[in-house]
Amino acid sequence: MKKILYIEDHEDTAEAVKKILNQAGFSVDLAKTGVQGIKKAETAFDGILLDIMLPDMSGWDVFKKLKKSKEKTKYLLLSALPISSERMTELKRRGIADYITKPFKREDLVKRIKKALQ
Amino acid sequence: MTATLIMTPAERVEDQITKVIANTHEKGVYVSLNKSQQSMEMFLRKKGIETENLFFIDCVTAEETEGIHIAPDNLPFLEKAIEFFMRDIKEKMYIIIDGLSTLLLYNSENAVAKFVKELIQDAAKQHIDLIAVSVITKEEELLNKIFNFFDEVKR
Repeated sequence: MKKILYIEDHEDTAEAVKKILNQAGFSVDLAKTGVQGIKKAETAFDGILLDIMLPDMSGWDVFKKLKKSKEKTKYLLLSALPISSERMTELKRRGIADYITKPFKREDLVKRIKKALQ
Repeated sequence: MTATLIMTPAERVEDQITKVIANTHEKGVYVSLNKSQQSMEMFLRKKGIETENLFFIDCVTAEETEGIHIAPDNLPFLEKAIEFFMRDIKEKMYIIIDGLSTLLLYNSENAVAKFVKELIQDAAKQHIDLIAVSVITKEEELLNKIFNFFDEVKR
């Protein structure tokens, strides 16, 4: 079973995504802040989903910190901010496996996470 | 001098930018957060807009191409680069920030708010117009801290 850490400060969103991913066969752990996420990520996860705006730091800062020590983990950003295809290419170049725009369809979320963790 | 924020759907961003640039003959500093300098120049030329009066700061592509490239997570450096142009261009000029909300992907809300506030203050001191274009998002509260610094928000 693939293990996912979801770092998200909005409890409702976090719980909803956890439920969807549990039903799709993933094991999901949650963290509410960047610091908490970094601490939890000390154990191994196959994928880390990051909200971009966390209360204590940006999701990007969390990614930069984790990427150094957890290179093999796949990182996905979840955000309501639409981005251009060129920005997507740049994010991938810097190590982001996917960028999922909220609101997302349940099937789409699962499909993209599965693809990223392959 | 005014600081204007234009909120627009993603598919209309380029039209809004074209409108701003086509309506002025002044020199402009173009901070590009969504499209590379190369794509933007190509797009503007297709629309019949000359780009020799525009100085690009490309925050999209990596540094292997010509021009000024600044990573969007390096706000102090971006601020310094814009300040440099503000000091160096002696004629009447304007600043355009294409894709302001993109900064929120890489920086905290507070850091972006501080950057915007300082930039608007600096531009005001030097009587420079600042136009920022941002994509409308489903979660507009993401931009709440930033709205207040602008003289005008157009939708």
